Amino acid sequence: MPPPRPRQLPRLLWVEGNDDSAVTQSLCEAYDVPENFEVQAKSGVVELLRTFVAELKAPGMERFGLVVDANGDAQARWESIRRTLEAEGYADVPKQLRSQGMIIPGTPHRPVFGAWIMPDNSGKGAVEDFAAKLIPHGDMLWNHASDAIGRIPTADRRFPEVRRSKAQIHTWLAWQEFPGSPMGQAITKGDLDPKAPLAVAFVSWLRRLMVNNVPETETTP
Amino acid sequence: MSEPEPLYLSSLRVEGVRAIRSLEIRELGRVNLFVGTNNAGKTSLLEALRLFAARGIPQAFRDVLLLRGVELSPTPAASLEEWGILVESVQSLFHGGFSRMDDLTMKVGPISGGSPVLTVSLEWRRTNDLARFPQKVSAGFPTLVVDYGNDDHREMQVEDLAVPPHPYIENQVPFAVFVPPFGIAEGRLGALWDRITLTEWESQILAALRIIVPGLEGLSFIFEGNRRRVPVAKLKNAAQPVPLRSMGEGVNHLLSIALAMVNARGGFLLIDEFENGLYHAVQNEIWDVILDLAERLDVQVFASTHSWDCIVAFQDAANRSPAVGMLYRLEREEDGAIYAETYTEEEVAIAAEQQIEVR
Repeated sequence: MPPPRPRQLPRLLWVEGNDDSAVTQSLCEAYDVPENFEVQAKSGVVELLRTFVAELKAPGMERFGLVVDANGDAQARWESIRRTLEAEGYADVPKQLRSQGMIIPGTPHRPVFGAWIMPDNSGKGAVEDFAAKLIPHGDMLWNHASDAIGRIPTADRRFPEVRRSKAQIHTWLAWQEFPGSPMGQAITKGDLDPKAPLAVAFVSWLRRLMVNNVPETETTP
Repeated sequence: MSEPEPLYLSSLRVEGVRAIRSLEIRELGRVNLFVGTNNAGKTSLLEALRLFAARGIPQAFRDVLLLRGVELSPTPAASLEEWGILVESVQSLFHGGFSRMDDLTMKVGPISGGSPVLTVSLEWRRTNDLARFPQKVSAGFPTLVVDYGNDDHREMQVEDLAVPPHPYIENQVPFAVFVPPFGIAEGRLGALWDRITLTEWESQILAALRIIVPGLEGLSFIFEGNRRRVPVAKLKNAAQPVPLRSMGEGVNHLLSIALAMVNARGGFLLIDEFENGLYHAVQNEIWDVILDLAERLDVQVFASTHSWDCIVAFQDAANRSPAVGMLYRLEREEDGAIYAETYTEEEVAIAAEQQIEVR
């Protein structure tokens, strides 16, 4: 097994998959967020949650963040992360998710920690629901996509109801000027709006976690 | 003679040894692997464990000094210069102790409970023994005060460390066997071999060596020239014995480790820079042997490494074995204390699988 690639930067963001990575990087470009941290795409939430503890212990790590999908329950997702943090010695980790994203101060041997639960740190969903909230207001294609999906007879539909929002965003992406761009590229091309409030909140969380000096007060309840 | 109680540390606190001002490890396993930058204190830690395992007997101090390349004059009291070299090298066993005239103390033992704590102090004492020490009346002369637990108290003059021990002591089963980088010297291997040849342990050694030398049928030590005894192997289909070293560095190193292991029964095995001279492909099997023997022979193993391959091989073998393997990264803090980042077997496995740096 090859040794780990030398990490240039002591600040690292783990995201659940390639879509999250592309969305994050496109938003960073749109906002000129300094490239002082590395983004690594993992293969799924289960692997990510099982293994991130080892990265908290990595030598010289200053700041570390996770971007994961809420799927069924954002609060349950946070609870599982919170238990790992407490076992690693983080003090006063809030039980309740905050809509602006989580940032937990570091300890003498643990990095500043951040988490963003896709889409918005509260409800259900995933990165596709995040992207959906970046669709400009009143976009007619979004309604067409919804109608089109609604008209598919149940017998012909191959995706379960929980994946309906994924089907809708990918349908919508398929109908853009350059059909079928992935979500990250759709941000760069302007199909998805990086100025949408949720995108602004995400970038603000990322800056506070990776770029700004982390004020102690930020996480005190 | 009854077997002594096996040594086992479930936690460790070291104070005042060499590069270590202080170090605490809350949980130790059966087999413990240490990584860290070059001055992080890995070698000092192994030295501390060596002194602890031997309960601070003079031989242990002697061994540590010799290994550090200190040349011990048999008559240091005869010249101020040689005496000064000896005293400074003993001082340097203590943290920040080089050329200091005040008292120095080191402590090695569990954080709480379990086995006793070893405390060694270097104290400067006045002497009236002008015949023996005419030069040093004003400074006093240094005495090592050794306590192991509450009822094992000894005092020795620094000068006594220079005197080679009686062969009887040399042949006592040591409580810790130390494997230096690139293995134990060939000459010393013979002495370790003599302790186990024609016992049940001989076959264990041969089994371990067959990992690298599948056709090995027997092992012996013969004189090469006048003094040096070197290991030779009987190979399948070979009429004449073959020097072991002709089969590559790895074979001697593995013999070192296997011999050290069976000689360390009930004690510690200390391996400095495990990976040196071992090519990657055999590290898995060697760790298998170490973990297996550690469990069966009641040996607690402490090893250091710089190598990612070594860590991966260690965790592979640890996952296969019931013996508990732990990994620690030593980090020097600004205040001089050493912090030990602790990885469980599961966490090392995660790091290996996800290629997350632990060193």
